[in-house]
Amino acid sequence: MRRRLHGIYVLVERLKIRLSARFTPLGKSFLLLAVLALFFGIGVERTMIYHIFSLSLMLLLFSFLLSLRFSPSLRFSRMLPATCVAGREIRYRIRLENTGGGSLKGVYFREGATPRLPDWQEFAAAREEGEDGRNLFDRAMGYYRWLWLVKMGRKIMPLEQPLPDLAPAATQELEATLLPLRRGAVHLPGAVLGRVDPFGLCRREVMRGDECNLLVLPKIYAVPQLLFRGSRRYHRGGIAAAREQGDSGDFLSLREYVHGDPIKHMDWKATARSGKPIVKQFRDEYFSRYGLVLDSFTEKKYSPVFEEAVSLAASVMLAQDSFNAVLDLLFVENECVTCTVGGGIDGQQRMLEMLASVSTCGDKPFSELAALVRSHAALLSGVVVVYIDFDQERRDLLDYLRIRNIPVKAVLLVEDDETMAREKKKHHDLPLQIFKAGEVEEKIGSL
Amino acid sequence: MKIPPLTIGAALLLWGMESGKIVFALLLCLVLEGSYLLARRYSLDEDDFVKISDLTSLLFLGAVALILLNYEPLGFLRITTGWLPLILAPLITAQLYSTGDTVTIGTRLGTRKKAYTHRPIDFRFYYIIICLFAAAAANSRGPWFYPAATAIVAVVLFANRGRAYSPVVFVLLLLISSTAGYLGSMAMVKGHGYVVQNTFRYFYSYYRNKHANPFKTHVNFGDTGRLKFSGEILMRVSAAAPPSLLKESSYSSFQRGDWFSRQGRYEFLLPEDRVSWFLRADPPNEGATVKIELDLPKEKGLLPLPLHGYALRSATIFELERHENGTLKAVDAAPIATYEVDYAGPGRTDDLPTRDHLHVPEEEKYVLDRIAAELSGENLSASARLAAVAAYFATDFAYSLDLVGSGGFATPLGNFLLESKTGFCEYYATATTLILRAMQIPSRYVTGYAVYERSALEGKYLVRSRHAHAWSEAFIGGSWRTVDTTPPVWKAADAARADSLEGLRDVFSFLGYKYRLFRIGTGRDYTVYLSIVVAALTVFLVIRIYRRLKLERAGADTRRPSKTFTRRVTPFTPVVDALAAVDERRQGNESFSQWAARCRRWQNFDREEFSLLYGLHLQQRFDPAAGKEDHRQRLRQGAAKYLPQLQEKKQR
Repeated sequence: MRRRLHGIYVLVERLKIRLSARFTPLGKSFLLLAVLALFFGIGVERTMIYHIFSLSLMLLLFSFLLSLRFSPSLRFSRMLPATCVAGREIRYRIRLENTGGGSLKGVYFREGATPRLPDWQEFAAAREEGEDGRNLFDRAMGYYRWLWLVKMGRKIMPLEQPLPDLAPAATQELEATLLPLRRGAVHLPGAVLGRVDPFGLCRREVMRGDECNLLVLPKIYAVPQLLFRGSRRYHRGGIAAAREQGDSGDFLSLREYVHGDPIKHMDWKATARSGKPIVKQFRDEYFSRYGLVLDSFTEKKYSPVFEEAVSLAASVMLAQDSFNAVLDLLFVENECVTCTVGGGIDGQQRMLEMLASVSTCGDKPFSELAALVRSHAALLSGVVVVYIDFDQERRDLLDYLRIRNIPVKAVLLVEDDETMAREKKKHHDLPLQIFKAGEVEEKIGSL
Repeated sequence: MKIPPLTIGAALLLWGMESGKIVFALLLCLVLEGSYLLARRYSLDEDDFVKISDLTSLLFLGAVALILLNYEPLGFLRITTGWLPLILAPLITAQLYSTGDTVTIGTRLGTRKKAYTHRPIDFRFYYIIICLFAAAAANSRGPWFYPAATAIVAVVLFANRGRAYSPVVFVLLLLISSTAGYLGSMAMVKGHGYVVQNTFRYFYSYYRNKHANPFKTHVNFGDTGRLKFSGEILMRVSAAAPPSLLKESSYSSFQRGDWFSRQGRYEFLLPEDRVSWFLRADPPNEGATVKIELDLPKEKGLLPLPLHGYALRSATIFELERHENGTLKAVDAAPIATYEVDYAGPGRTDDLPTRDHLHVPEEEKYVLDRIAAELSGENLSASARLAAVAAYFATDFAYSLDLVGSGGFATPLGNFLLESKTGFCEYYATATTLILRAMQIPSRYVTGYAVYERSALEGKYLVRSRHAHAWSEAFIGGSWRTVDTTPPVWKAADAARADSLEGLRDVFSFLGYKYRLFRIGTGRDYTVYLSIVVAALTVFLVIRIYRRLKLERAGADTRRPSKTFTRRVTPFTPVVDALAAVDERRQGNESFSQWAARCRRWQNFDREEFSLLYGLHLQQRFDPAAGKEDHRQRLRQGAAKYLPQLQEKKQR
């Protein structure tokens, strides 16, 4: 039954997409009008609704026929950036050249986007946000869940923009806008050029321009650079990709003293000037290596809390001193993943791309991530843990890190105020900061 | 979607003119179009819109209840549509007088639950369409409806037309398509007449109400089979042991697949007293009684009766007619006719067989004579011949609702009897009647209903459409006897076709039946009282919802005030304010100091200094706690330097 419903929803969605490509919102209203008028007006002796049916049908018919004659001959190109950030409108240039004999009038442009329809497995496994609040019928039919999944799968919002009238052989450059909605890789099959018929009911759209891909990165917040009390550790053999190995003795910069720095590197003059212990920093293989642990264990395919966690992780990663410290991102998706950035390794972009496409892990236990962190613990001078849930296993991991004397900054993201109050009461003894999803940006300063 | 002013008003006036509700239309028109003249707007949030939706729903339900109470159910939809512009007025008024340009439709009936809301919509276009539907539902048949409706639609289309075409092209195309639309509607009327003429007889309702047509005297071969697909309850029968068959009508002549009744006439049947009729000349002293409650939506129709019924009593049948063949017809009765029939065994009857009852059609003789010869032994009595026919059908024949064609035979009957040997009651009844005739026993084809399904809910036997049956009657020993040769499995086979929701439908049917019985049975009309109760209840609920609405009048600028902030003033503020009053527009990529430098001719203007001052001014505004006295001093000096130049220009 569910499977059949899914099939019907897919068909309906495809029909909706086709209708939207062919009819304007007014045209769709007229279609509805024609169907209703046919239904109620079939008894031509009882009412005059058949007049409305006939009129709307003829208008739609003429409209449809007139909309067919649109095949613009123009050269079209657009300059899209490779990456953008979710929720932040991007502006890019488009270039038009009318190569036809006639002038182009009343044409609009929007970015074409192929919507991804949820497959059966995804539909069956997903739970809509707040689905428990829906009534029995809605839960059984799952149509709202379907709509929600379709919405979640929509990564960009193409905005329709009217193009100026173009005389033959005229060229024009314009600024176009696009709103990325959610992080992830987006395939843009081309730009859509369309024109509406005289009645404004039907339209014809043609695809122009090249295919391209756009990577929507997670939202980035302004996070303060994290400073740990943790000491520098000796990393045998350093990092393979680091620019220099060993204690080269090259002076690099001055920085604040952290526990473990050799006293001989103290810059006494600078210390005296600033009133804080300052050391000279050399390029060497003693460096701070931090861990950024991202908890992805939830059964939900789309979770606002997880989205916030990804954004927070990306923000923490970008805020770090990538030159003097190394940051390891640890998470579990289909398998355990470790990604290193900093210390001269230019991995920020790669890590952002990874975070742009990370998804939740519903089929593995948290212990896998805990084991990964434990295996890395010996190297780490500090750990930032971003939790999206909190249970005994997660508490054990925190305790483990504390016992090993590794400074930890742990953040738990929760969905609502109620959970936040409950969790705060339960874990008041832990160095755990609890933020509500959606309010991270305001609260992040206290991290 | 753009809706030009006065379009809604025009649609309302069209509705008023067409339906005769011009006063309501004028009032609504003034209220709705007045929104373009009045600047007053209300700040309505989603919750308020949901309450208004609930209010509208209540009005709708109240209206539906009133219409159902006061009008025939048949015209319900048309009458309700006719009042929709008035019923939906709160929604459109809320949209037009609110600060937004959409309306959120949802429900919150059931106070504590979270409201269900749909995506906000612009209701104006839909309201115009509802007005047009309501105008059309009035069915005035006036010549102005089509041009007026076209004009209203054209105004909406013109406002939303494609930019690629000129208005002249639009007008031309509109003329062409509206003319084509008019021709199309004319064609629809013609086409409708044609379709009705050709398909009317196939509609179920035709068969359901066929008895209301006093001129119809024939039945098609296959009619009963069609009824088999419906589980609708037609009558309720109460008796300790009810008769297994209730006869409705009988037919004597068979021609090319159709049974026809003898050209007899229905004649007025004189009642014994106001509530009873004798059906036989010599009613016996005792017999069984069956009570039948028959659904007669048209208040007339044939009455199903047990065989050998001799007396009928009813307080809800007012006039009866009887056919020569014994068929009874109620000419005037209540929509649910309740009657009791006394019946006994065979007795003297006026309903004697005629020559028609022995007639065998020529085209069927090839098969009937052959079977009759097989079954008629020498010197067999009539009863023995009857038994032989029954025995013939009891072996090798099966029940099926599929229609049987002619196959390789001249007629479908030949195929049924000689080859397929499967069919439903009509095949068996037709074949039995004609075989009996071929065996010189007068017989006729009878239609009616089988009584066998007892309802635990109602404690009565239910007779559904599906229970329609056909059988034969043979005239033996001075009276007519039932000969039903259809295999008894037909009841189980038909019951298996019932759908899973039939039980639920029966409950609703029972409730509806009780309500109708209440309306008929009490003999008193409570419509007015009930209408008052419904209206009062609706008004009460509407007032309750209205009182919960938090109608906040919005400011004159029709925008909802957002948060208010206390403005932090620095010594440099007058300079910034004075600059804001300058006409020159700031470009998107221009810094404040660049713009300031450009927008007027200064004396002694230092852009770096100005930029620093502006930075300090912003710092003072947004972080006043960090402000130091020397910063304020610098700002004062800056203001003293630049403000006079700005004021000087103003005075000039």
